[in-house]
Amino acid sequence: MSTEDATLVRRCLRGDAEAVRALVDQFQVAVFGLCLRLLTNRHDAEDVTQEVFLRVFRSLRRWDSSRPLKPWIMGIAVNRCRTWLVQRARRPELADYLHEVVAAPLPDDSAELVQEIQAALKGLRPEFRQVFVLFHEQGLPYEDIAQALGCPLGTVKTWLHRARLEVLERLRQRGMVPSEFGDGKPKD
Amino acid sequence: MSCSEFQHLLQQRLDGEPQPQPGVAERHAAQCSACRALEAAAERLEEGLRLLRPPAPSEDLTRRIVAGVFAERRRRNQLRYRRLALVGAVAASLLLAVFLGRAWRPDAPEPVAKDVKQSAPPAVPARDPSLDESVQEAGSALVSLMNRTADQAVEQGRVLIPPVQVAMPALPAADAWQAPLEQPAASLRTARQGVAAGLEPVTNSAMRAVNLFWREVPRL
Repeated sequence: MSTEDATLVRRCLRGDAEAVRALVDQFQVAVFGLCLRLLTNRHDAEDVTQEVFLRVFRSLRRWDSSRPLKPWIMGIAVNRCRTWLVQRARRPELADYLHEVVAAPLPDDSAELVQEIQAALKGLRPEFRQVFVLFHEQGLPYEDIAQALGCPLGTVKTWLHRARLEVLERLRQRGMVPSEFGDGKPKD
Repeated sequence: MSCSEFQHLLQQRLDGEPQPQPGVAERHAAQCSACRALEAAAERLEEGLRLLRPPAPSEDLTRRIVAGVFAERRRRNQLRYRRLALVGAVAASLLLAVFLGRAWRPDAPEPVAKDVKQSAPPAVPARDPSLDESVQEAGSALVSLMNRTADQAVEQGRVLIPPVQVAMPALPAADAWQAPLEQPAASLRTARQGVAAGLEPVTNSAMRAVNLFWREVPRL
């Protein structure tokens, strides 16, 4: 448990405006990053980020202070993204702005590599994408991901391993691996 | 080492865990081109993940989020005050209804009832008597009181006046009093209906307030 988290939450519950701003500042980038990766649309990601924080402050009293705050907030974000994706599936296709994520020019084929990884993420099943982003981009440990997604630890591990294999396979198929390593698959 | 064991070690490496047997995986990769390709892809993935920067939100997103949070807080406070006001209005309506109901209720003839209690204690009623029953009871009490007073007057007269054989007129029986009492009972019934009709708007207002209150209460 983080004492800073508990103190910040207590101040927010007392109506301290500075604490509200501090909490938003602390988690906004992580929440937005997760939303953008899962929704692949900047406008949607910003809308959902706003919704996530409204829900966070609405249910802040229900946060279990014996647990870290970040997985709890990320769990709310994942749930909102799932709901949004279901709603968006009923609407016409929206433009994809994910390519805007990489702003700075990168040396050699790095930009292409990053784009291939992003494209591979987009092609993953939603659960695989969620655990991949939470682990590799948000840096959450397995236990926190399990808490955020509300599923067993073993399931999280299985999903992440499969997600990685799919991404690796895509990188190999798209020629992002030197050709001298061949294109065979493991024997068993 | 098998290919699946190699894959397991590769996953551990991507998890950021230390390699339990350094050199073993390299020896397998040197002999297996498929696992070598997988390891090369993993290295590219690690390289790409290091380059993958967290996407930055718009500059004014914080301001919009904080503004939204405070706007919602204001709305919730306003809703809370509205609920409190509604609860107060409901309570005031109910109090007013109770007060008016008590103020309009006709009083029972207490002195007569006390007198009747002295002469013959009535049985304890199991429930509150209706208006008709109260009127009938009051009538009977009045008749018996008058009979008793007349008897006492006759007794005193017998003491003071020498006994003379005079034919005493008999007092009317209790049943004879019932018919004249029917008229005041009807008046009281009309009054009761008037009270009920007068209180109806208050009752309706209270019910509307309660319904409005329950509609405003969020579902759990």
